[in-house]
Amino acid sequence: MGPNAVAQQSTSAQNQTPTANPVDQAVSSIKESLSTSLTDWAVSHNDVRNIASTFEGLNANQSAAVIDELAKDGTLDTMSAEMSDNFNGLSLDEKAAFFSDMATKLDGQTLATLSNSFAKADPKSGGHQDVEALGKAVATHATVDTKVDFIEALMPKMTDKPDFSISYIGGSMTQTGDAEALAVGHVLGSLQNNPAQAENIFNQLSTEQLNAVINAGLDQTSSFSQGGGSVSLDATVAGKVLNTASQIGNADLKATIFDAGSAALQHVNDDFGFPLATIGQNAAADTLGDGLTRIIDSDTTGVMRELSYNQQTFDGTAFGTYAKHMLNTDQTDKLGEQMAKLQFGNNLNEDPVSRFEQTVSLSTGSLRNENAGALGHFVAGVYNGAASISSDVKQQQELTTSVLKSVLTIVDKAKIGGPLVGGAASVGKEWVKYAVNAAISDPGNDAAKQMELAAIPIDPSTNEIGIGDAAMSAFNDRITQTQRLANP
Amino acid sequence: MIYKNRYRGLLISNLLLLLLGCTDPVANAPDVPKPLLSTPEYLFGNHVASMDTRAWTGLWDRAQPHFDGLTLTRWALSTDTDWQSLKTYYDTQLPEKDGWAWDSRFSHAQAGYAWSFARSRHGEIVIVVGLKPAHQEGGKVPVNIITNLKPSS
Repeated sequence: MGPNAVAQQSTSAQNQTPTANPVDQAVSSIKESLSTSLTDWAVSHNDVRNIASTFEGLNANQSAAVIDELAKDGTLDTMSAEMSDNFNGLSLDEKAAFFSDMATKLDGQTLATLSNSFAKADPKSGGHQDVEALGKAVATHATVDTKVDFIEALMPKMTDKPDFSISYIGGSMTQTGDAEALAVGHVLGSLQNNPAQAENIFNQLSTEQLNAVINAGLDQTSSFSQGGGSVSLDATVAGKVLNTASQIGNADLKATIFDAGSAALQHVNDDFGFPLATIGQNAAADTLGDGLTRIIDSDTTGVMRELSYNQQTFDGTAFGTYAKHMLNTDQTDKLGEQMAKLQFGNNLNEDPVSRFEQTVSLSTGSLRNENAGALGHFVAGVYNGAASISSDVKQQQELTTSVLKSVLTIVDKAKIGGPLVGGAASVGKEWVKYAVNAAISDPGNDAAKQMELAAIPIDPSTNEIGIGDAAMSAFNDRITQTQRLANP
Repeated sequence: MIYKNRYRGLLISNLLLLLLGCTDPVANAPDVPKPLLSTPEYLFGNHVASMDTRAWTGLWDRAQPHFDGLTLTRWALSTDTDWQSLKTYYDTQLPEKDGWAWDSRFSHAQAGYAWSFARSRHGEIVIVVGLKPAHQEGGKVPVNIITNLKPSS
């Protein structure tokens, strides 16, 4: 539509009666903007800007009604395609403003309809840039209820296009990550102060969908040209998703999300191979590692218990991958704190011997020492992490010694055995310290033995293990399994 | 000399064709037999878990030096189902005509608490190991599958 047509349309709008239906008017105006003829052979930049302006003049209900109406005959897809056009479409800023306007007005389902329409506009990438931009706008401007509805409406499309490639003269580029999964990642990341709604969403995601969200949140781009190749990573969105997960209450769900985050960490830490240059690899690994730490810190005993007994994570690869990253990045103090919490409880105020011996009764009536199992899973994970960093026994030992020294520091600082807690915890504290010191000071202990022995409280007066057979069996079971199966 | 090289080339290409003709007809592991139940969490208490771990780790340690890329998956089996039916299933799925055979090195025949069987052929293996019904909890016993075949799709 040319400038004359715009002027005519403007005059025509002024002549319309105030009682005319604004939805019909807007639909008509948008269709007019999108129409072409022999004398008006292209949809111009002004036309698409007029469409955005038309929406700006509508309230929330009217905007939703217009989108619904345009979707009926396929005009919405035409509109999205014209708005996305590289030559006459909206600029990135204009599109961001349009999406912000939509995110404040539309409900989640209608926003998803709009997103799907933009996805069709660029079938090769699945509308990657626009779908992500709309997701960002929803994350920033929409209400919590709208965010939840938007994610639910996008769920069926989160795994259909895990990557796309673009070829150009002299090279190619591959972007990893489904567009809708990335949009969902942005929105999930914005639910950090809404744990109930976030938990509801996480509960609905299948393992495949959860992995798609985390993988898309790595923003991995691989570029190849005659001069070489590079892989760039930015885990900001994945990190935010993990942070949101750390705030939910369900430890089982947290462990599932930890598993997905850990798999992404393993991928990021992969050797992408010579001659590929990597950009942002360490920063991405740190972002993921921090997110995983937040998840464990939010409920150390609960999450470790789930990691030990869930079928998906019992092999120890997920925790071992995390422990390897922590050891590699000199965060042994954090691992020491986590081990102390497994021994003394999340608040560091319980009797470690009682905790080790504590049983839960399963639905079958049999008993299980889950605290002992979780501790076994932890110590084996740390050892496996150390072993995967270096085959040198001395270096492994240095890493585990550093973790155990942090345990001692934490235990010393903690108010265990204070007047409110009583004698048992105080005695237990001494037994743990004795065991850790003995494990560290014996040069004959390799890293695995060191971790294992340090975790079992010892009575200093008799030099005997202070734990019964059943708890020891549960502890050793986890170590035996993890040492064989983990692949961090 | 040229002819010799050509002959050698022909021989190699024929050998390659022969090898391709003999490639593995079972690219993936057979589907997990229907009686095996998947549970999101391990079902069993200390006592059964300890026997279970002993049963599979013994076989794992025996198999690992001979087979690369082993993985383990855990299942549960109702005591209403005879574990011998699993053996029949794998016999059918990994048949002798494709080179599979019972591998007696991985049998728990003598153990009082566990059973196991294995099918193997050149570098590939499936071991199934479980506890006997006497060691059930809630009418179920743990069963593990150790294999280096690709997971069934």
